[in-house]
Amino acid sequence: MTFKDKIAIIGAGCTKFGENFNMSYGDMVFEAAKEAFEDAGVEGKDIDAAWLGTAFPDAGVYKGRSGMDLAEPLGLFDIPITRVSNYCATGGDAFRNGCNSLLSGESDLVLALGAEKLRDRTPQDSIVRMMVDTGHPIYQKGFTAAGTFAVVGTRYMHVYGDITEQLAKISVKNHYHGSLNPKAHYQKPITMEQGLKSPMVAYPVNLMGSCPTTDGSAAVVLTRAEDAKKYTDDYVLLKGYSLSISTGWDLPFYDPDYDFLGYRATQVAGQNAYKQAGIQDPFKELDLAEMHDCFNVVEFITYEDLGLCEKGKASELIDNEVTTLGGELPVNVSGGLLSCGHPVGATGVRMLYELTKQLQGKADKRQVENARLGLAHNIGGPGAVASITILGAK
Amino acid sequence: MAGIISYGVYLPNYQMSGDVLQKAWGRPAGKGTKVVSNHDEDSLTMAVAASLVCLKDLGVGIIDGLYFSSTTAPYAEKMNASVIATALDLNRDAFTMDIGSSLRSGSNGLKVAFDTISSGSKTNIVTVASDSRMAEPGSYLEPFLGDGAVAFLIGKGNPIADIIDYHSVYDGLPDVWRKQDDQFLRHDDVRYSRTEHYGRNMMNAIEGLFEDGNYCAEDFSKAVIFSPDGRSHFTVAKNLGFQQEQVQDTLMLRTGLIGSAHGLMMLATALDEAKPDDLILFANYGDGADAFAIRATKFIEDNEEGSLPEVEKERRSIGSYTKYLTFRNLVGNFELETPFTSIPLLRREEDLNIRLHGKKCNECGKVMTLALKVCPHCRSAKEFMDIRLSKRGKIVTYSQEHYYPTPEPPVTMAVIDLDGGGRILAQMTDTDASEVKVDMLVDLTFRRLHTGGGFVNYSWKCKAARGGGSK
Repeated sequence: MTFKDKIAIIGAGCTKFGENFNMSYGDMVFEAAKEAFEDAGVEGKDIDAAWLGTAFPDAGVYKGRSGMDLAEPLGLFDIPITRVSNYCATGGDAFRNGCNSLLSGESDLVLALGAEKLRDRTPQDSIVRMMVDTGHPIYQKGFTAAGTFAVVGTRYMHVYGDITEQLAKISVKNHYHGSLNPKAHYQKPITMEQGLKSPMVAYPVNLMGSCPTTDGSAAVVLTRAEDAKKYTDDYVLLKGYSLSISTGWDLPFYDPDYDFLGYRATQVAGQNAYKQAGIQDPFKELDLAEMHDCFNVVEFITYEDLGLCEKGKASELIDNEVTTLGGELPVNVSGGLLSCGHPVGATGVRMLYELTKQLQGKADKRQVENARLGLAHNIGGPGAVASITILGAK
Repeated sequence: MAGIISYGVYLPNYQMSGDVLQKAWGRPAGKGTKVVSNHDEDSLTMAVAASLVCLKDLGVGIIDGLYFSSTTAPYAEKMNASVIATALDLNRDAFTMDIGSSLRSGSNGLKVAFDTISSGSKTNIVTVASDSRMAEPGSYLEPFLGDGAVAFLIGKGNPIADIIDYHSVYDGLPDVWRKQDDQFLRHDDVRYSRTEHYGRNMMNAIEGLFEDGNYCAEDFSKAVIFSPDGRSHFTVAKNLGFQQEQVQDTLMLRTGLIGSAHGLMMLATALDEAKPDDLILFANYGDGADAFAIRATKFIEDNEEGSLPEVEKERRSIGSYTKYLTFRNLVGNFELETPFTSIPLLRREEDLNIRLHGKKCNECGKVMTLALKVCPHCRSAKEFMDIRLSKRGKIVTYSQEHYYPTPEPPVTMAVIDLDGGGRILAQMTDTDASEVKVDMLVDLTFRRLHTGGGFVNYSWKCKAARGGGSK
């Protein structure tokens, strides 16, 4: 079944991403939803179903464990609200569920919102603690999140040769893009020297190649495409989406068949989404992409997983600046996770916010020229779950 | 007849020379080098390592007892030997026992194992001594103490040496001691100890042995006499009529005194060189003394390997005294804060994570190393065959973690393909981060992971395989 052109995003909102010390989880939910409602020209009371994406309530203030934590800050009572959790694909999955509700006819106007409040704790006490202290007493002890992805970089370099410089170039590119985004956590460009020589976090991933610990929330308002005009003339259309889980939390490191050269979750979700959207040659047809650069090596490998280049050739895209703003296929013009930060549940929805603004031509200094078709990608767990959403201009 | 079937010495991978101590404390600390265990080692993990060396290719199925001797067992209450037996994957009905408190506990274990076998109640017992004793930083004892473990397999069959006589004396007054609430060792007047604690007890035990068996010094090819300081044993040997060339090297300058395992290590090096029918005197000290007459059999000729580990050549110097203090948890804090653990979980997964049993899919033949009900390769949910995993493998890929709490960053996390099938993920230890490479050969080594739940959570890490890194 294809969902192409059946769903419209009619409004999008996003808080400033950063260390939002003066905002609670509920404050951020309120701000993101308010912007999305105003953009769509609707009010909270018009929403008849909602999905809340929060991945790690326990890494924050225990908010986001259920739909209640969306209902309360918005006064959104007496409708179905479901909390979604699917690691870094959480935001994308909240959106997917919202689409499905509309397509099934369960609802007519849906809010999909992601929020994560991580900085009421120190960074060491939030995401880092999850890996270091609260996981399985034996498995993965010694890993941080960076390391779970770094192993792909190490293996890739063993097979295809050194990519240290290309990884640094990704960091430089995304921090440059972040300097153009007033909602990014970091808005300062970095030098190639910083990209190469910042302190190592988990070899081969260094500090400038790692996303920070960040608070944020983002929201989109959806309706069936045929109803979009009732609310606004300026909407974008869903072209395809897919969510795929290809392994478990520990299995990638214990599976003798895994080659550590890419993520099947991304590959499968990408192919499914392309099929729905009718995309034959993604590199030629896509105008921009938001990719899951939680660590620079993940963006690198995603070029190959999404079929934008041949296996082993991602370096060429970077060296030729194809994925920089102004290039043939700009990637992470928002600044990506490296600049925006990664409030986990919010990130996927933040990407949809970015694509919506880009496809509407409202992205200001970071606007991609003639943006007609954009892709958002998240990969979560240790490369286990991927969400792909493709949006197109009206 | 019961006797020594094999033995194995484990010495940790770090050493600290007198220079480092001299620099730290501004006074001479001797010419010796002390072996220092890594921050993730304790007497229990070292005992596992020594036992693995001792057992070599012998299947663990024949072992029906394990005795663990130490003055520094990690648990005061809760048996330590049972953890070692689990890591060694011994049969569940093996008889396990801790022998504690005394520096002499190593030779106590040898005696008790010998008696157990002789009685016929058991057939093969590993008796392993291990210690990581702590002197107060800056104290007289500090330069003398090293860490290590030695295991002996006592059994019937074809022993390389028979224990033919034994004599023991005890002494209730304290020479070297540590009360329940003491962190560091205390000791009596050193000069008094040389003659009145050490000298008197050793003489009494050995003279008793001579009397029992009607021996004299000339009967022995080697006198293995424990020494608290690397020299007092010469006086004992001389008083008994031994010539200097009969006296076995104490190894003090090479390793430091490795506690309850030290005498056994000296015995191991004497057996390395022994020939059939050689008679060896072995005398061990601590709260009295144990003396043994041990005779090598014709099977000693098959005993080829030198027992002092090859790793001695590759051993790494601990560069600074501060690092030593962090290893012993005396400065800095590198413990995980509140690591989660669960005893029900650890029990469910013990076969997999501690005993290292994998599951082989009957459908596709792939080896699984996680507790799964469905094979991730062929998706069959049929029966799986239990197999014992290898402790050697090759690195597939790795990361190096600079933000994981450890006194020795970065922590290398290695994905390893085990020989014979199965893939695991393990922390790397005892290996310089700069040496790590894809395809490097590694051996699994039993280590402390953390102390979540208030107990020690042990599991397997990996280290560069002995005798060379990459294949």
